[in-house]
Amino acid sequence: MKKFDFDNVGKRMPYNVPDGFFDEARKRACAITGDGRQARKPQVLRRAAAIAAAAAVIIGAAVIGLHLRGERPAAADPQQLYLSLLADASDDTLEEMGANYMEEISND
Amino acid sequence: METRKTTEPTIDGTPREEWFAAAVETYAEPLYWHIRRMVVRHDEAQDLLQEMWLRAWRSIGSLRGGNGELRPWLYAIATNLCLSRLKRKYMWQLVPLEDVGRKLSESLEASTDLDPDSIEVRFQKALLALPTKQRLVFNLRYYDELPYAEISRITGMSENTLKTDYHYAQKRIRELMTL
Repeated sequence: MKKFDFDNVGKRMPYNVPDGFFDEARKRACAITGDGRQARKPQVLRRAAAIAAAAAVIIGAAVIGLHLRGERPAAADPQQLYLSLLADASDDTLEEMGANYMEEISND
Repeated sequence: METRKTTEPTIDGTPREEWFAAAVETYAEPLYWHIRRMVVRHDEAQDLLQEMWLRAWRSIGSLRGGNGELRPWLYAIATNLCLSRLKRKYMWQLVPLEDVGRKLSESLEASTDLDPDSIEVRFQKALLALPTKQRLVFNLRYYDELPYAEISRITGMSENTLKTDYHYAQKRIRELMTL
């Protein structure tokens, strides 16, 4: 059987790329330097995530404590308590947490 | 009255923003393809590319050696992001990083308009059959034509290991393409 020759395929690849993608990608990348808010987002997200995590721990501890004493927590479930605390968070914080979720994961 | 001069951060004497824009202009496309070859899907590659630029901008002060170190530095950020994403994505399916190529092969046909029997598709499937790190080395050498010394800086692997990996990758690809 004939041996495969890499020159038969060269550097050709089968992948599709949307029209105009590279121009758009360059613009988005350069927007990073002009948009100080975007560069700072991960710090805000970390603070907001830290506050949310602390709130979750406190709520969890409170629920466990109530459960051990045989009392039911007032809210239907711990997530409701957590969400009610988040309700006091600013719109900017919530928007950034939602929009940057993947970024937070990749920062791990 | 004396006024204090603020010194704008520069790299090799060029203001950071200008320097970054020049890096984007030069490397956006090759880095996109490097990432795409690793993760296969366009939406993932697009996401990781932007994440890479964000990290590069935030850690620009850590770049030592100016322009000479730029390419391996950018490729290292991109590579680490790809490997982290792949590891995290398939961790829940208990697929080790070295085997994710098989899973990626499943999304290859959705990422192309070409016939599954075309040589381009078969070639990418052969690459995806390689262990992930071996595929990475192959891509950087074959497609990006980077010298082994630079690939060593990107991957942290010794040049001897890289040469061995590349040799075995070529051998395995020939076997798969000849089947």
